[in-house]
Amino acid sequence: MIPKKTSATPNASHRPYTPAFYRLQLFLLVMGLLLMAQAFLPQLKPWALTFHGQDKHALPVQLSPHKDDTIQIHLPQRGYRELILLETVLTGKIVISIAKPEQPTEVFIFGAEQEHCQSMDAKDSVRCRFILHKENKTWQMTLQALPDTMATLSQLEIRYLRNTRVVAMDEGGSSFIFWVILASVPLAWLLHNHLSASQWMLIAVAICSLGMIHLQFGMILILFLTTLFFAGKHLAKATHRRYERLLLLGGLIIAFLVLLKYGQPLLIGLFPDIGKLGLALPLGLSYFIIRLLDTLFRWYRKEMIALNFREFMVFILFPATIPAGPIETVDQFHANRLSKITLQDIAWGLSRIGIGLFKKLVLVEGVLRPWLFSPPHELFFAITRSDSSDISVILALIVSFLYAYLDFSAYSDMAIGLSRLYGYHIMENFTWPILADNLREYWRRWHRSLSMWCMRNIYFPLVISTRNPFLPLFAVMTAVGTWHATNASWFSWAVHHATGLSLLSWIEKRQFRFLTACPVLLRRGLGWIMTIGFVCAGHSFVLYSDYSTALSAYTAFWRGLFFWPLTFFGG
Amino acid sequence: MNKSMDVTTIEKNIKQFLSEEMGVDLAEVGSDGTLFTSGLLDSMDVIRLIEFLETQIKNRISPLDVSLEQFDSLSRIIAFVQHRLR
Repeated sequence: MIPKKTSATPNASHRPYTPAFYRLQLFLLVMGLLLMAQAFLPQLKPWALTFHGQDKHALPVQLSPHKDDTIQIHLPQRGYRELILLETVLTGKIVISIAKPEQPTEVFIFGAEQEHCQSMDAKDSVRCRFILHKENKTWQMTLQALPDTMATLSQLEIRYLRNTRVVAMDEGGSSFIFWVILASVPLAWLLHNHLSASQWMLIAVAICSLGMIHLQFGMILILFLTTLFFAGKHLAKATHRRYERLLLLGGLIIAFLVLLKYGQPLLIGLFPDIGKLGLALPLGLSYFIIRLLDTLFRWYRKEMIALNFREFMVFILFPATIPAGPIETVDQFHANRLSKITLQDIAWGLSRIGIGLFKKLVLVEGVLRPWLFSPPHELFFAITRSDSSDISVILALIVSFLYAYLDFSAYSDMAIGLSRLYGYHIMENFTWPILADNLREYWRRWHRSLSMWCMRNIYFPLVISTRNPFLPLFAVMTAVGTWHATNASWFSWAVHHATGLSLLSWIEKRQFRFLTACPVLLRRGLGWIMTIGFVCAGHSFVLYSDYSTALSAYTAFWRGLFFWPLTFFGG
Repeated sequence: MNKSMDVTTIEKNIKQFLSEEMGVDLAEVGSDGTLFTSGLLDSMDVIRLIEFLETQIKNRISPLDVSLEQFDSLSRIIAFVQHRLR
């Protein structure tokens, strides 16, 4: 490649953007800052204590072995699966019991699957972890002294270590829907030669699946998509006030996401029977939204004007990619429909689903998940133990990264395989990101469909408007972080990756002599170690929702990485 | 100078810019080879290309009016310029 010259042909005399775009940027900036600000606000204590049979109502308290002399901890249900760390400082012996809800997913105390536990020694720190279920129950933990002992509870701290938003589909529902969709495959083969009939069938399968999981959401979604389709087509043909229409429709889509994702507690009780909507997140909501936004921007640019309602609906609701993508563009999706489904396609699709199931059931659930969350390793809890080393934290982050990679790529494998069975060739979402030898390459290989969506719809417009390559990087990463969750951990993850990508650009631009003189193999090897190390360090913000725990893991990772080799020499 | 002459000159300028300023081997990439989605060019190059094209079409490029796909190959860049000069 010819060395690039530094001088292009800049022309600062004409402004490349309109005042309206300034306003849009300002609006997005203020919205982003508000979202981020709320992530850093001190959260109200999400748990409460009730003292029974006590004279005082604050810690420290003594618990006598009287049956009414107890403390109850109330943990409100918040629409998350939560791994909670309960730490106490106590003397004496105590029993912790948990009011068991109807359908608990997991309850562990001291790493044992039992309802009662006993503190080991005096002044022991009791660790307790469990996952809340989506049912609208308030959890209660009761602390009670053992017979013939007096216990004193002097401190009690609860940390919400990891929140995972509950999706309106538990594991049983997930496999049910999977089989329903798979059962519709033979129908797809029969109808494949009739484009219209086969696409309406796919739309019907998607609507039935969504309706079975979440009836209200299914109905709201159809109404919403129908409105958006006609309004979007109107935008594509409009000749005036196009920018305002785009803002209105874009705002409507974002508001729909925000309302369902963050405003659900407000919805409960607002409409009759809406309580059944629960606090669970509708399945695939974020994916519907970004496909919609992509299509909306195309309509604004007067592309895809000929798209009809059926083609629009089948693109948004394609059953195989509902839960977790990949995120195609509307033209790619329709262009990649196979003219006919051959035996080879069926064999390829089935084997791809098999690979996905192997990854998910054997590698993720059988190997990595127990390493992270179950005794004896319990790597997830390494950071919370005073006796654990930085190396165990490094190991936890590496295993957690592999867990996330294999879990997500397993879903993608199944989606791609199922799509092929339906007669569609869907883009690859992961192309061995663990082999990337620099961070940019990593992002080209990891969740490619989302990376390309961000490139098209956030990065590229911002690069044109700001003429700065670094600011849009931070905007993209912040958007991806916010897409996952608006908390301080994900914001830090965004800053971590955007800084890494900016540093990489700077290093490449400087062309340091020691790097250019380095043999290619050595440079790539070092690049690979640094890339995976960097990604794993950032994974501390993914693994721990609790910001102080995430920061501790982050610093422990770098401390361990740099100082661990010294222990070989220093002893 | 008529409009068709303009387009021909601009095409020549674009090819020259891509090969000399951005180091793209047009003989190897061809007119339909992808430039950005393949990773051949990066974000810094987007800015340089946009600024160059603005000087050629003598007009601003608004961020919401264009997509990355329109600049992803030589043939698409030329098609974009032809469309804007129409």
